[in-house]
Amino acid sequence: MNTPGQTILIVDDRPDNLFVLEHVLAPLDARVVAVGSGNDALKATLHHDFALAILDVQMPEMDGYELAELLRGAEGTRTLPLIFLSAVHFDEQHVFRGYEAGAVDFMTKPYRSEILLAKVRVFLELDRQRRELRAAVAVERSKRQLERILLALSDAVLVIDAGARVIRANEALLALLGRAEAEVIGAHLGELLGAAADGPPARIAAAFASGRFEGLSVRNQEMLVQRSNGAQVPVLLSSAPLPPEADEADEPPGAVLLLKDIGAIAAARQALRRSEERYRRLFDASRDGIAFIEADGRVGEANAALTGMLGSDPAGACPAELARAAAAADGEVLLQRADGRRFPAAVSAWPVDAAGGVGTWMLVRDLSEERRLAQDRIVTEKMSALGQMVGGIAHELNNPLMGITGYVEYCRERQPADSRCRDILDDALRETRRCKELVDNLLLFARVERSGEDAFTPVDCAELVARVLRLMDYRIRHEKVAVVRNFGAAGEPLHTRPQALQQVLLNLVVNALDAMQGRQRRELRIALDCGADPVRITIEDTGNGIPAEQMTLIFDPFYTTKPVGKGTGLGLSVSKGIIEGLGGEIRCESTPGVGTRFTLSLQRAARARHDDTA
Amino acid sequence: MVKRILVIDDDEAIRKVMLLALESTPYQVDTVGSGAEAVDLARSESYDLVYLDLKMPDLNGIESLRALRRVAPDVRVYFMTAYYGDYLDELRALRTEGEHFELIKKPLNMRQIVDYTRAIIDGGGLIGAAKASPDDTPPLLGPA
Repeated sequence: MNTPGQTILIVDDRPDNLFVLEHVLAPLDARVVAVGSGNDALKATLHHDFALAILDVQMPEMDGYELAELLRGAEGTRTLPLIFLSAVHFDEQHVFRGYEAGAVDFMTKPYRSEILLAKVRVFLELDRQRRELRAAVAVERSKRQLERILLALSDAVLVIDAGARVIRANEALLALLGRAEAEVIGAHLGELLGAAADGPPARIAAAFASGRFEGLSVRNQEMLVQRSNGAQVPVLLSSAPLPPEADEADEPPGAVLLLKDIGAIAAARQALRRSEERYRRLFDASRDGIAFIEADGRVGEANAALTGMLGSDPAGACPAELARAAAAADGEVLLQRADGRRFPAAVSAWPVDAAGGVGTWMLVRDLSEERRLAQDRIVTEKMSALGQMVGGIAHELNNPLMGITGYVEYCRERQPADSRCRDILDDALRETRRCKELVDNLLLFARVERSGEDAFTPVDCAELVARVLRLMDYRIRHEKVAVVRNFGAAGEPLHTRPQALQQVLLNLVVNALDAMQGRQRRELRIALDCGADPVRITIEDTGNGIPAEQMTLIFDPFYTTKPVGKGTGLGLSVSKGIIEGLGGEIRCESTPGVGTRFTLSLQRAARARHDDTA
Repeated sequence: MVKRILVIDDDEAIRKVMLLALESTPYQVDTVGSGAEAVDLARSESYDLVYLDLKMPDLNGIESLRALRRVAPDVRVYFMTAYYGDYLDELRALRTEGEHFELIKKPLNMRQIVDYTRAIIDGGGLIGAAKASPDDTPPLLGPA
């Protein structure tokens, strides 16, 4: 069998010889390149890979032997088989001893063409075999090379046969599984990787068994493989069928599997998840509001604290105030709740890269409580100072009062029983007593503010209200306000902090009086329902009333209608705080132009505290 | 033997009223305008009862009492005051030091002055209230 593409070089200086030789070789399925000189022959070897060269020995310039020497010395033609044709009888054969055995033959001219042809056939066959061998070696070498590359990979690689049994495994795989090569080679894929029946290895084995070879191609399937010590390692498994060998239908002879150990990635992922959880918890549990503002101004995310502050979840919305606050970077802003109420907030913001531009993280702290405390502190300080002043005045008044009382009594006792002087001195004493009561009330007020001790005790509500009215008596009379008392039947005492409640009542009465200033009709109605539980106290004025749109704001710490420096400085928010602290509630109803009514509802047995004393 | 009372008050009206009120009693009453004078006097004289104002210039009532104790360790002392808020802490301190004193609330009328004084000296005891424990607010004795 001639290999197609075999080429024979013939060299002769005589064209008729070449012609004859070509003719002789014609029956062969080989290409013939004919040249007329040694030099042309050498040139031809640069362009062809000859299977055989037939050389005329007697040629001018370079004879056949010289040409053979040169061919032998060149890399590409070192093993080129040669047939020498010579007219001379052969003694020169010895010259070519040492030349590769079997690679050289000699024929004498004239030759018998069938003998030459037979020799040429042998050489061609030899050449064919040699070429095949060389190709086989090259294939084998490249296979080994590939295998070395495969086995040198840092990822685990194994090769299985069509029975899903391991025929190759690299060091990385052995290390991954913690097994010796002997344990691995020949093992069944499913058993080796210890995977579930429906896992990728089982599916690969099934693909071979069922002939559905598309199942052999797997990409980055995550699974757990079992190490020899029982530990499980997360891997990404990929596999591909081995290409079918040329002469065997199209069934893949096996498959190559690659296992990527993602233990480190999984651990990193878990660490990331944990970190994310930690920050999520911080985000969720933070008492400060946290929001992320997207580049387009929408709120991407807001935590529960911020939602609580605003009264609704701002996520997805585009609140102009938040955006303004974010732009302001750091500082204080008034934010609006969903119900329209405003509250002061400290805002810090910092820009970060976000999808589509620069986003902003915002930290929002509700300052209402802080403000309220500061306000309370101011009030407390104010009341403390007021108490001190009142106390001082009362003290100063008490001495002269005691003097006057003493002097008058002294004189009165020395007057006859029915004398006019004694009557007049009685009047003097009565007026002095009124002064003394006024001072007592002032002192009580002062002590309330200064003692700081205000425990829950049973209190007679009617007495408490009366005391407040006594304190305001001068102003009530001076401003010609009619007081309508509706105290109802006396009930059980109310359990409360008397001084705190008195403070609130005083505040409400002062507000009522303020509201009625300049009004035609000035009537202060105070009603008490001591029989009920909760105990109800209402304080009603005939003032201007409160516009409906301001009704929601009146308990706001920052709401006031009074000029700065006016009134006691006890805002309604403080009153509300006190009443709620007493376990009660305060309500307001108002009709503009007609008047305002505040109602206090107080649990009779509110807040039995440990500091209660009988 | 005649019982003796010392009134210490910077306000002349008080001193005078105390004298007038106690005229009807068998007690001998001296009055001084300051704690320093009281200490001077108490060096040579001995008293059964001292009425002591709290708020006074120079030595206040509490400082006066401390000074007085050095020359009259046993004399019975009543603070007579309208307003003790400023002295709450010092009064408590006095109590914890073991000092005995009582408080009477000003103003008093003539009848109260006489009644209380007689009760203290002749009854030999405290009026009205039980003795308070040291950490309590001192009892305020006042007109009914």
